[in-house]
Amino acid sequence: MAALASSTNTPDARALLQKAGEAAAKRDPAGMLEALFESRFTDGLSRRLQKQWGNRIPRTELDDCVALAIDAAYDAATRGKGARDLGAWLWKVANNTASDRWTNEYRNRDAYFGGFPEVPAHPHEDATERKASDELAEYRRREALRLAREMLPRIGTGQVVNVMEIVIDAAEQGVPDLPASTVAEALGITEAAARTLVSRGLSRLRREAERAGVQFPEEISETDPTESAEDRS
Amino acid sequence: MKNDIAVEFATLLASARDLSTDVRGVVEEILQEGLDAPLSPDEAAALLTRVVKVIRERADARRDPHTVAVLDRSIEALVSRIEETRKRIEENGDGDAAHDHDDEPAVMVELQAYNGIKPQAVRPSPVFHEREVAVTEGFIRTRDIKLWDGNERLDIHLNQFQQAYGRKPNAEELLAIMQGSMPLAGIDEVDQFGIQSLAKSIAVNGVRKPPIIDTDGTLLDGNRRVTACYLILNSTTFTAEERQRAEWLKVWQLTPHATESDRDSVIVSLNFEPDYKQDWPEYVKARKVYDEWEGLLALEPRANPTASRQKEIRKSIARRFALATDEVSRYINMVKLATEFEDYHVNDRNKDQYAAKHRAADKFQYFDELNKGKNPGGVNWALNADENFKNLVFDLLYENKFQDWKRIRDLKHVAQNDEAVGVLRQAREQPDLEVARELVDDAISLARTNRAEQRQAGANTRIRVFAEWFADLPVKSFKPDEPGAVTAENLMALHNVLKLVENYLGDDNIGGGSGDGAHA
Repeated sequence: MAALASSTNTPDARALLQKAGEAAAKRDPAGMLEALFESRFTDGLSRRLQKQWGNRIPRTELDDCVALAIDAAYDAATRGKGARDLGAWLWKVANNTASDRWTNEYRNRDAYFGGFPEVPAHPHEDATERKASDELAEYRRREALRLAREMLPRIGTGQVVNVMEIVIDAAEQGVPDLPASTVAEALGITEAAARTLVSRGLSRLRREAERAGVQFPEEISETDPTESAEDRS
Repeated sequence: MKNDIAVEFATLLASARDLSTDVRGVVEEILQEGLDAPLSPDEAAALLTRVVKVIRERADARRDPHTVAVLDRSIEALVSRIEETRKRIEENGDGDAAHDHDDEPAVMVELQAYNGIKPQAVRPSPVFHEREVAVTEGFIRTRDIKLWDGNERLDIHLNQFQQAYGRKPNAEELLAIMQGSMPLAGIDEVDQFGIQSLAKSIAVNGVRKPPIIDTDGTLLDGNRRVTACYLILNSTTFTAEERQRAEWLKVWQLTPHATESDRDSVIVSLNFEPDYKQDWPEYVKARKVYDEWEGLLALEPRANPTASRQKEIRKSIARRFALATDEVSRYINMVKLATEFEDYHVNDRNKDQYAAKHRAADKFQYFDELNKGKNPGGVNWALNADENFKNLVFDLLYENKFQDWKRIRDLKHVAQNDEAVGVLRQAREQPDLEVARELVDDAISLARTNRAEQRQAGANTRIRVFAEWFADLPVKSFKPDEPGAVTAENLMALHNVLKLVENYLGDDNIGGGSGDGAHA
């Protein structure tokens, strides 16, 4: 284990995160865990999840979210698909896992005074129902991806389409983090351009989807009090 | 589109946005949080044990015997090694991270006595944004004050410098940026921050309001005043007496006990709340509000919070920045459109990104007007209905070809008139600014004229056809219970219009002025 200086700071911790990623790529789970725990990123991640989800999901399950995120990062790295930014990857996967748990397992449970709900409000599906439900979900996902790809020619031409192809591919593959640097590198553009193209592409895709009848949750739609009657007409 | 697929599509888009969201800031915070508040040995051991168990189980399920073997072989040694290392770090002590602006050890700057006035605590402590913050009043040499390179006012300039030179500007360069003597793309004004006029005032009156500095001498408020003092000190146009006035400054300094919240309160209070000084440009304030909005949205468990939740978030931002909630919404919408403007000019027009930012900042109020009228026929609706028209407006805005923001309101008429849009295009191509502005006005006039003509066209035919149709309506059309009956609301509207008709006819004509027996 690398000897630490008398104190750790974020650059040291960053270097340790990097080291954790390298160890994972070499299929060295022990090395990865050593570096991760030494960096204390795991501590910060645990604290962050606790802050965000602690009043809704039990601590032990939040630890599971951290564990699953680390496992996903390790598995991806051993398959040559390691994260460019391990910290961002771990945060996104852990947070998404917690969000999924809340949505699928806790939100619908009956309120329980004095602790976390233990009994689901709705009983679990049996194996057959679950299989059918999974298949239906997969079908919907494939259809959504097909529609997204179909709409790409409508959002413009050139780089914005190329960028969105990469983003949709990543979403399809379940990649949790797609840094602008990865997109920039793939297309030979600057990071700033990649960021703006992603933002623009997503907005345009949304606009085209709305034109095609997809209804999104409402965003900001407050009436501006300074707007005149003529403006509203 | 079937509803369930639509929902799945929305989810897909949300995850695409999520995966491409830049969370480097969050990662940095997590690292810092881990260092500031590490898990206790028991908590860390429990987490580590859980992580090892999960990796081992899943590796087994993936049929990865190598990983299983490594973990089985080294699990105990691994746990004890990690515990030892963490213990050693604890013993060596990380200490609390001191406030440090530049990754350098912070050196306390001590205030001096001047003209017999000794440093003293300000009593009662001043209140910044509802927070009492203890400060000491005293004197400091102007040259010992560090301009604040974290000043949001300079955000675009500093990033632009960083991109050009690959580093932050040093103190002299920062001063040059503030004084407008450093050439940066997109800045046309010679004295963007009004330093010259402020220097003239300070030369005569001295600095009336004490700048506020941190314990290490970094300015929290007063960058313009200190820059103006530097200008006086470095210029030969000021007299010795005037230069003397700028040499020592009375300042307020935070105490070593000040917290980050104290610093935030000082900055927010002095730059968001109204005062008799040059506030941060609206663009900068709106950007800061927008960043806060994005940051808070990212922390939400749902990718798309409900409208009521979004309103709560906007309310909390409003409290944080001493703004009205409507103002927060307005800023958010303005920044969204300004970002679109910048994206267009950078990606489609190959403009320098900072030049585009300067232009967006300069024209920021226009985005407020461009956001108005979201319903059909409104300005914003017209922009979103036609990408080419929006781009045309963005081009004209960039080239400063609208005489003033009031012209924006008339764009809704222009958008519906091909001929007027054609004239706007001529304005875009016109290199002479004055001529181009006249063309913009021509386009607006043309659209207005045609609109009036459109209204007038066929008036007689329309009225005659309507009158004949109305006269032939059967009586049952006015019985409320009949299917398809004329509603009371419509009758009232018609009644109101007929009152107008009476005005146009005049008294002589009412009652069948033509004498053709209308009463019969």
